Amino acid sequence: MATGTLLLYSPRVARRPDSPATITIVQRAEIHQGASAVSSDAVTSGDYVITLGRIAELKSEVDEEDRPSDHAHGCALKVLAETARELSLDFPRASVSVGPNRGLRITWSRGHGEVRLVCGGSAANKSYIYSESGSQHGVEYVVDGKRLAHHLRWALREA
Amino acid sequence: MTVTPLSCEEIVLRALLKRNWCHEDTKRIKADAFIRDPKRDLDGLSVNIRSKTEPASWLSSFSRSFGADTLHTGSIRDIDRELNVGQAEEDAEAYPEHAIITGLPFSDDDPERAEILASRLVEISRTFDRTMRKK
Repeated sequence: MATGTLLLYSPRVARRPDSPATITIVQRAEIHQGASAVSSDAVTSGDYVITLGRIAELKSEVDEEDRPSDHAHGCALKVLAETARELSLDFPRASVSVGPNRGLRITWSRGHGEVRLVCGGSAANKSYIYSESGSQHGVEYVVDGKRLAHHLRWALREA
Repeated sequence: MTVTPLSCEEIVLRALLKRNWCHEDTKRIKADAFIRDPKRDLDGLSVNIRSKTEPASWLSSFSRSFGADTLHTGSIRDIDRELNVGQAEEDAEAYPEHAIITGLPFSDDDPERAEILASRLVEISRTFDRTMRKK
């Protein structure tokens, strides 16, 4: 019997093909005798989609002061997409609001833990990640998906 | 600016002036409500004295509001010795119900301290009203 690699594609799982949170998971499964199959599944965290929807709602506010700036919006989407790649289906739902200078404040809470991603309204405003868990806290001024994922894993871990 | 401290027993109200200053799911106030805005909160974070305020008409006076929380003045002072609650001298006659929480840094000046103090203020806040009002 001939052996080979078979690509299985299942389009049903891609909830939002345009979403940067769509993550491709490659699974290898042994089928038949010695045959290797690769299946490609696109998986999106529902909470990530909800979080993006909440940001989109703010972006469509009528009053400019209630809308995040393009700078804050772009920063948030980039960092969240990177974080979604890190956390996959474990990406937790966030609460979002517009902060001073039309920055974006994105908050995750669980129990006594909280993480805040703050994207400044302009390059002149500070962007940072703040996290706390019980009496401990930390601030990170280099903002990217890897670091945000690390803070989320730490602060929102189950007790 | 001269600020006259309120008595420790005084209850103050913090208005929720932005959508999602309270959590979308739990409706609990968030730290976002206690981050000073350099445009809005130049002298300090605006609050109203509960005993001198008719909440519904006060919250209706904003172009949009989403409710308010109450905070105990003494508990605010207990958070940090630099925090205080008082009334600016120039407000005393024109806006006798208005007060400010002083001692909070701007998040651009000291993000860590601004976030820590905002967290502590959330802890002592009590939900008072969650009605959306629009002029």
